[in-house]
Amino acid sequence: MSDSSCSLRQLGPDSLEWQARVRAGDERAFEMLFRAFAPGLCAFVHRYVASRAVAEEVVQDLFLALWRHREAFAVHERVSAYLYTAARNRALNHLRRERLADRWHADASGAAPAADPGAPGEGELLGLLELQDAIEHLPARCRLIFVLHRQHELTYGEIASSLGLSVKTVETQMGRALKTLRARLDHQRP
Amino acid sequence: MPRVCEVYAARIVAAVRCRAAAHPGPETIVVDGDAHDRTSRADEQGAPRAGEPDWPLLARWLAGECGAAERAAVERWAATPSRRAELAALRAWWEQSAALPSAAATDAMWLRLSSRMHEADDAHSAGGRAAPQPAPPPGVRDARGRRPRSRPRVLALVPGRSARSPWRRRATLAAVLSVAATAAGLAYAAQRRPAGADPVAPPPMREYVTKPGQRATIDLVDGSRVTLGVASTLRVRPYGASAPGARELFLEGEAVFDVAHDERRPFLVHAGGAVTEDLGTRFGVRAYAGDGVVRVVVAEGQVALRAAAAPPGSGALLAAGDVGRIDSAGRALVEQGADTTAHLGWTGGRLVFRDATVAEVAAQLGRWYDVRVEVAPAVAGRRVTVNMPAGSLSAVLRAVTVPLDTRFAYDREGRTVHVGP
Repeated sequence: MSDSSCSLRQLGPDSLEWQARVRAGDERAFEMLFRAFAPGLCAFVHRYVASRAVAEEVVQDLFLALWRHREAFAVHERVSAYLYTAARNRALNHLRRERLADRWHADASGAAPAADPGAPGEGELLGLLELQDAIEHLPARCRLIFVLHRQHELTYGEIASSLGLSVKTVETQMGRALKTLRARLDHQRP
Repeated sequence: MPRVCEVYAARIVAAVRCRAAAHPGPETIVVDGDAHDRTSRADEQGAPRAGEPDWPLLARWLAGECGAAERAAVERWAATPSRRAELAALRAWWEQSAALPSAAATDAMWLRLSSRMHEADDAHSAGGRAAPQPAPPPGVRDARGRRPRSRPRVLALVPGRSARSPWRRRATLAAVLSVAATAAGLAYAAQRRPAGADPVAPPPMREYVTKPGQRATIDLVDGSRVTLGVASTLRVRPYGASAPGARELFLEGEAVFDVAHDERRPFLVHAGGAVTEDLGTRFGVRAYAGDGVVRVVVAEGQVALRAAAAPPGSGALLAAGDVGRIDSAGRALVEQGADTTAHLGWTGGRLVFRDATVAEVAAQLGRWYDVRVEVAPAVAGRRVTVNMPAGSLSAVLRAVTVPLDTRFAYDREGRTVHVGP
């Protein structure tokens, strides 16, 4: 839904007016908030929990709690910073609970917890939104192949045989995806 | 795969040697001319563009599907600091792209979330009639394994990260190319012959069916995407990605089409005696059996709409913002400058009625919530305009009945609602 992220950029995700609308129970505003931040938050939480299903669950829980307590949604200088901090806390809690559960298992390894990547900066958040935008704007077939490979973990061979294409075509489309992403996202690099 | 790698490696080595001979200096990987990629065809002719990386190779390198010779080639290419930085950036995007949910996944997340939000709100609001929720479709469980309250659900084709077993991969593939929910057994893909088909006719069509209260997102082989509405049936004649001839789909009900345009292969939607042909678009078609009229709404691009009996090339041309209607007699009417988001709002979980009769609203609600809605004759013909998120059925009924100064009531089992004084 790139149109929601575009209007978000116009409105400003941190605008007080927007937060006020969420507080007032404006579901549309809340939906825009969700659609703007959820993808990036999922990618972010994924670094902690290493499972897309769990990451999505954590992010949904976060937004559900936000909605439940929308009247008390405090004024935040930067909604993005608040959301990412909250997401990180929930992710860490999840890991803590998992490790507690692991302790009861015979094969608990006692390995050191995964390094905490820390909360992302403002630039990185915008970067994630732009990446999602860029992927959604790939040509249809190119995007399909790219998503099948990156998000569904299918090999080139599997993609080729299921779509009735040659492996060479799949390779070309993946290369094209990479080239297009680079062209679209190059301004992000320092 | 090894054979391909060898071919690649051989071409790269040959290209590098050629380049080195012409311009001694740091070796570069040249553009590999590719017949499938139209944009690079120009580069095939003349000298390769200096410094331009071999994108398919880089993609495979990032995916870890490279042989040693190719890895070495990439490392040679990334000799300079600026190239190393570029490679680092590519790697970052590559890593992140795996964890970013797609648009379909985000849609599915939003629908799950919004129904949980409404549950929370319903549970929270005190008093009022404790209206029984419509029974959830059988077999649906959300990510926690709970039976959700029934709201119209979009079933997106994004299973979570599956284990690396071949069985799981095949299931994932099936889920992407046909319709499968996170639980099984709702919308299903079946190979069926359409009724009355000639026994030696072309191969049977693949069929996708949603029940009342369900929706589904279907990614087609050519990259097009169909969002199938409630209580609808879509039949697709299987076509290979590069097979010749038209791509034909048959719809009963409602769907939105996001078409991967292909000039050589027309995309045709047959519905209710009309044919809509994609001309590079995003459009919605509505043709429920009881409607009496086929409605086509264009969000982007153009479509050509004609009655099935009319010859191809005739009929009306609809552009973005147009709503075309064809009745059973084949008469076409085009309304321009319509609010397409109102018509297509259902894909985002909104209920929209424009000056519709209560009877029409009742029929649609019946499909969305999987209940029977009976309307007293006194109010059936009255008209309402509604534009709201599809929350609980009670909330919607309140929104419709209160302005009309009428009431609604559930029967004892909660399967039927009566609207009227």
